[in-house]
Amino acid sequence: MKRLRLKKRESSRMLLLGPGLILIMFAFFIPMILLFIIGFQTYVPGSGFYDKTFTLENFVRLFDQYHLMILFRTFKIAFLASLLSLVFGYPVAMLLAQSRGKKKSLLLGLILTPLLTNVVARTLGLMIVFATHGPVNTLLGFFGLGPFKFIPGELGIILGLTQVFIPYMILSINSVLENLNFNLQNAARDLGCSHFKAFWRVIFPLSMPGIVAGSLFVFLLSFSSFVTPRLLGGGSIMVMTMLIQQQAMQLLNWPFAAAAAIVLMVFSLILVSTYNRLTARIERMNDRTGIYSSMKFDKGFYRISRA
Amino acid sequence: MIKEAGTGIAVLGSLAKKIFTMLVLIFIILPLPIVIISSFSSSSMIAFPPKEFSLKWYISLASKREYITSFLLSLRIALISVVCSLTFGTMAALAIKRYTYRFPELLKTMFLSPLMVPAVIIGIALMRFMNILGWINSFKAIMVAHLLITMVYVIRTVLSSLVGYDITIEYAARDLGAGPLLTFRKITFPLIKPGLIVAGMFSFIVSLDETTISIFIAGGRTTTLPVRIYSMLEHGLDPTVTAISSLLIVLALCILLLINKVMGLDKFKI
Amino acid sequence: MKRFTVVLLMFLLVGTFVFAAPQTETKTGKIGDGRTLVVGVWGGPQEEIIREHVVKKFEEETGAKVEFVLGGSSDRYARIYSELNNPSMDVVYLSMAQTEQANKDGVILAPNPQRVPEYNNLYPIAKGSGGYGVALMSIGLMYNTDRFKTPPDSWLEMWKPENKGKVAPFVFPGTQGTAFLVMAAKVHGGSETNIAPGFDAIKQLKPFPMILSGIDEMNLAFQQGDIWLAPQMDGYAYNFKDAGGPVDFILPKEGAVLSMNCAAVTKNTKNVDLAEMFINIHLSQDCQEAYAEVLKYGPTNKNVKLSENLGSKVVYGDAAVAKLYALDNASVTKNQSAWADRWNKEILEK
Repeated sequence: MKRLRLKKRESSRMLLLGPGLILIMFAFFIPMILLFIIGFQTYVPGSGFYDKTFTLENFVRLFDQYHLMILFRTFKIAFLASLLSLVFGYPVAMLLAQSRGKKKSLLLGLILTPLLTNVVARTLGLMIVFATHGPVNTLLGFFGLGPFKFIPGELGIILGLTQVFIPYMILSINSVLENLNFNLQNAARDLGCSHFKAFWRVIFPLSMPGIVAGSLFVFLLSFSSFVTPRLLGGGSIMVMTMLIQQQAMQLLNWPFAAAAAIVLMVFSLILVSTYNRLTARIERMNDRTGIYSSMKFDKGFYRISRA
Repeated sequence: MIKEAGTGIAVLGSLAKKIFTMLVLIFIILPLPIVIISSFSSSSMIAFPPKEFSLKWYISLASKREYITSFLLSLRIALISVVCSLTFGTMAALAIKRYTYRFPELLKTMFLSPLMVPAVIIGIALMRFMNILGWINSFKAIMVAHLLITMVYVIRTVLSSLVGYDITIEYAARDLGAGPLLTFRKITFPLIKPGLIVAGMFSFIVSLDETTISIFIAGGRTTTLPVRIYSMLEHGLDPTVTAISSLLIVLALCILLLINKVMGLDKFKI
Repeated sequence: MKRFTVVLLMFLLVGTFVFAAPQTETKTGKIGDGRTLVVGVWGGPQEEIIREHVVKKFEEETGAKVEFVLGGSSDRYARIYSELNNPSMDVVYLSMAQTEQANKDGVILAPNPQRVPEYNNLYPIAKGSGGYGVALMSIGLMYNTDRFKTPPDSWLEMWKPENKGKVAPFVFPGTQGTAFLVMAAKVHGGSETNIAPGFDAIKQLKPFPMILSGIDEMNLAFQQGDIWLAPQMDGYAYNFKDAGGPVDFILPKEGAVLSMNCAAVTKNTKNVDLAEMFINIHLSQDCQEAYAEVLKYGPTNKNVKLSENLGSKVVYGDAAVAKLYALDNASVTKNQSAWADRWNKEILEK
């Protein structure tokens, strides 16, 4: 009887899982495995075809000075974008955590609208904002500064990524701050701390989990973004994702593009698992201390690289 | 005396903080109004602020058929994605939740793994695979890519709305003689409905917004709107894109208002 | 539940709109009924003139619709290789070098004089590429007239110290980029087979105000005085001049580069008939004249007669073609990947 039931459950499980499983196999795992294989094959110059001989040459080439520089730059841009998001995003997150009602909805609306807007439309806005003779430079001109060359350039990419991904940072910090008791800050002030000291000694350390999670997440997103660096860099600032696209789409060197993709994936998987472990630890900490009540992190299964 | 000076600094500090916060908020939202304002410019070079205003680019948009075709294509893909991924995703999420006696974590990780891989990599992998199948540039290729991405979202959202869900309720219903469909309709569905609404809206947005993967596998007759705008931006600025981008921004605003209406913004999670 | 119903209804509404839309086509009994021809071409003035002089007539004659895929020719070139089995475009516009290579590799169809009668009226050079030559151009120097009271006459003007920081190269790979790289090599003692002097010379031009890739941004930069000198095609330069830009164009004394745009039908397309009709209209006298008048592109059709004034500006006739330098396209194509690598490393990076 019991075995029969188990068998029935097994078949209905397969029935439920089936379509999804087929889709994910077909659209994800098989292509990824093929990509992995191509990374070890040989490129034939001057044609769109490749040779099936096994080689490690693609990976060796990836670790020459130039490509290491690109990898370093990709890291640098991602790091600076997360740093800027943190500096810019923290006060907004504070404001958001402390507001209620209509004000809160308005703030959330402001933060979420760019996130819901098509990334290309947003980038177009950034291209106009940061143009050599655009509004930002005009404004700076009034103060006798500039004009700065934001785009095409690294500075433009960093500012652009910050603009695109700062909502994630704000929401991440907010999810911690929201559950903090701001009376703690008042208590500290009553005990004689200055306003700033009360914040720096009490609130800031307690919001650390949100900061770390947010930073890591913005780093991950910036690290693997393609559209923003491509459009704001004007095609002349090479990052890893652009290298992959150029090799695959313009030079038809698929083996090398695949190898670069594999390397990029290894790095992002390392980052993702760090993030997952971190958020899991925060949750455990949460259980122990109870300071962070009912905080929910989604364990890193966010979508990477929407931009 | 000392205390007063302290308050002075504190007031100054909080004022500075307020101004800084305002500036950041402007920085976050600024690109959107700027696109909309530029779209009413009459100059053939995108510039801000526009010297004269006109509806020229909206009229030119109407005469450029490919923008409209692309927009309709994107809408169609988004709608199909919502319907199919809600169905397949919910089924898979229920299966993962219901039958956890064998490798539950492995199954979950497997289904959610596309989220952890950068879109460029999924794009190039799919491009090679679709090339081998001879599917490149076909509607089905784009559909498959969008379904993959949206289904994963649905699974994630439904799984998180199933946290704390007691599976024995279902067994109880079954023991009382309800069929599997009736059980779903009466017991499971009401429980996961809020999650499904979020998942559905989210799939719609994600599909409409998907650019990076589509750049690799879309082309010609199957160019989705973001890909078309992207390739326009790549090769110099045609002011027509400001018009179509403005429309997309307005669409995003509508979606935002809808979300606010249906569930409240503070419950919305990315 | 009510709100849920509202959302559901909205979806249905949008859904019906989306799915109903494509079925409103009218039947006219023409060959292209309900069919779409996808054409890959450069954006901007070229797109506009093709819309005006080719598409209108084509849609009228065939009943088919035309959609454009806009972009640079290197993107299209890569695409026709990677999509050989299922091309996304029916007609592609390519550079001369790309057409030659694509023809050699069999990814485009050979010209078909029977279905494209205008092919017989083309100059020999326009027949030689393996596709249909549609326009002849020269790549020379575009300069800022505010800055140069007497026009420069040499590529070497770019390397004069007083112009440092105001000279912009074109992105490689690309038509102007390739021509400039080769000419930079030639005026510094190199050639297509010895490209190193070209890279060294372009490196000396740093810092660049920008690396050019689009026409609009380039014109804007000239307008603002950010750029004084840049390699460019005659047509684009004259176009901007006519629009009031502070620029002019010269053919440098060391030689300007011959460039030709070609149209081709992709292999394996299902719309060969429509594609060939489209190209035939493009090669016809009316369209070629408009091309010369509006874009300042030289005609490839022998029957096109231009006024003396216009004829002196555009690449017009066999004699004008003979004066220009034709690149060794075989070497260029063979080395493209290696040069792109070098360009990334030496030109794009500090």
